[in-house]
Amino acid sequence: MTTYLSDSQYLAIKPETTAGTAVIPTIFVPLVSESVKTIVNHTVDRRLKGNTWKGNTLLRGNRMHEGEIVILGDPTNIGHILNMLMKKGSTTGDTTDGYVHPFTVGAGDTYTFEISKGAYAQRYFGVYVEEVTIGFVDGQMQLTLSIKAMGQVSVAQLGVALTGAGMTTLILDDNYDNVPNRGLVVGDVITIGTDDVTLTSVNADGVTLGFSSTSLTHSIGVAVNLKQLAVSNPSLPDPFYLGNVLVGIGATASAATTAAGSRSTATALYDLEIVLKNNLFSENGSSRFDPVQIIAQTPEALITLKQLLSGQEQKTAHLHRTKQAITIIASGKNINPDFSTNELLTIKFNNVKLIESDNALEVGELIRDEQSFEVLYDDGDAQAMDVSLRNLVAGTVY
Amino acid sequence: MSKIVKNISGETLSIPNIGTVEADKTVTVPDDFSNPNFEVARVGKPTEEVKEDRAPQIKDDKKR
Repeated sequence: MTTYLSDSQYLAIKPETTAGTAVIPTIFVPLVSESVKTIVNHTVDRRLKGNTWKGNTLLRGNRMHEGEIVILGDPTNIGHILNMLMKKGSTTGDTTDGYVHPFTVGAGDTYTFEISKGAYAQRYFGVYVEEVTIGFVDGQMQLTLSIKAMGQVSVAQLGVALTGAGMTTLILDDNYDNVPNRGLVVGDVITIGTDDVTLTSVNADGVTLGFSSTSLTHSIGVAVNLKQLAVSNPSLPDPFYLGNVLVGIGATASAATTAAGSRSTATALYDLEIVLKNNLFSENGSSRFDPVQIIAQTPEALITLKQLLSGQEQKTAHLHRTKQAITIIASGKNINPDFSTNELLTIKFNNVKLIESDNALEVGELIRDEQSFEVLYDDGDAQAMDVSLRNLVAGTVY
Repeated sequence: MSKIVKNISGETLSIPNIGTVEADKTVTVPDDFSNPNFEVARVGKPTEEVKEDRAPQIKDDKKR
C-alpha cells in the first residue's frame, strides 16, 4: 500500500491579479499544520421512492472551502499574511537596507493556495484570510490563519474517452461541478491515469482542457488530478522571537512607540497574543455551488497579554475605560552588513481599552495583570492600527 | 530520463534531494520535475556523472 508522509508535502502560495482567478503558486511556505477542507454539504436524497431505507443516494449541497493553517511568523512570510489581511501601501527601500512595506486597514489581496496531499495537489483559489492569530509558542512567533476560499480544484474524472494518437484535448466529467476546469491554469501539469500533460488551454466551456498533441488512451472515468509541484525553498529567515519583541504601552500611539524604543522603557510581557479579524461575508447563492463572492466586513482586533502587577493603574484603566495605546516592535536579524538595519515588524494600536483585567491570587506566585484589550478606532489619529514590515522581499512580490 | 532546468526565480533556491541552485543557473532534474520557478533548458538523458553519484549538477548557461 502506498503511504504518504506529511513532512514531504508543501504549501505554495501566490497573490492573484484578479480575485478568484487562480495562478500557479511559486512561493513555498513551510507549514506547521493545516486543516483546510471543502465542506460539500451532501445530503441524503429523501424523496419517497418505495424504499424501506433512509435513502439510496446523496444530493449535492452548497460548498464552503475553509480551515486553519499554522505557520511560523518569519519576516518573509508574515508579509504575505499581512498582504491578505490589510491594504499594502507603497514599498520603499532596497536590498541593502531592506524593503519597508506599510500596511493599513483595508482590503488585501486574494491568494491561490496549493497544498500537496500526498497523492494529489489540492488548490484553493480566491483565498481570503478571515482571522489571524499572532502568538508565541516556545518563544517563536506563530501565525494561525483562518481562511476561506472561493473554490477548489484537485481531482476529477475523464468525461470522454481518449482514443490514442493525436490527442489535444480532454473533457472532464461534471459529477462535481458544471465547470470542473475552474481553478486550473495554462502551464499546470495534470495527471491522467499515469500520464502527465501540460495544459495549453483551459477552455471557456468549463469542461475542456487543451494540451500539445500526444498519444493518450484512457476510458471514461479515469482519474485526473492536478500534479504536485516539486518543492523549491528560498533561504528561510528565522521567525520573530518573543525575546526580541519590545512592547510599549502609553497614553497615545506616539508615547507607546517611544516606550517600545528601548528595553528600559518597554513593558516586560510574559505572554502576548494578537487576534486580527476581517469578519468575512461568505455566502452561497445563485450562479455557483461555491461562495459567489467573499467580502471583508467590519474589521476588529483583540490583544491578550500578561504582565506583572506593578501598581493600580491598569485596574483604574479597566474600570474607567481609559484609552491606552500599544506599540509592538519585533526585530530580527540584521539586513545591512554594517548592522544599521534589521528585519523589523512594527504593529501600532492607536486606541485600546481593557475589557478584562484580572489579578488572580495563587499560592506562592507573583500577582499578574492578565488583560484583554479591545482595539478601537482612534478619532484623533483617524485610525485604529497600522503595521510596518522591513524585510528582504521586494514589494513586487506581494 | 532527466532534463535540465534553469532557475528563473531570481533567487537561490534549494530543492529537496537535489541541492541548491543559484538564480539563472541550471540543474539536472528528473523528467517529471514540475516547478514554476524553473524553466526547461534542455531535455535529454542523464550524464554518466549523474548516474554514478547523483550529485547536483549545477551549470552556468553562459559557460556552456
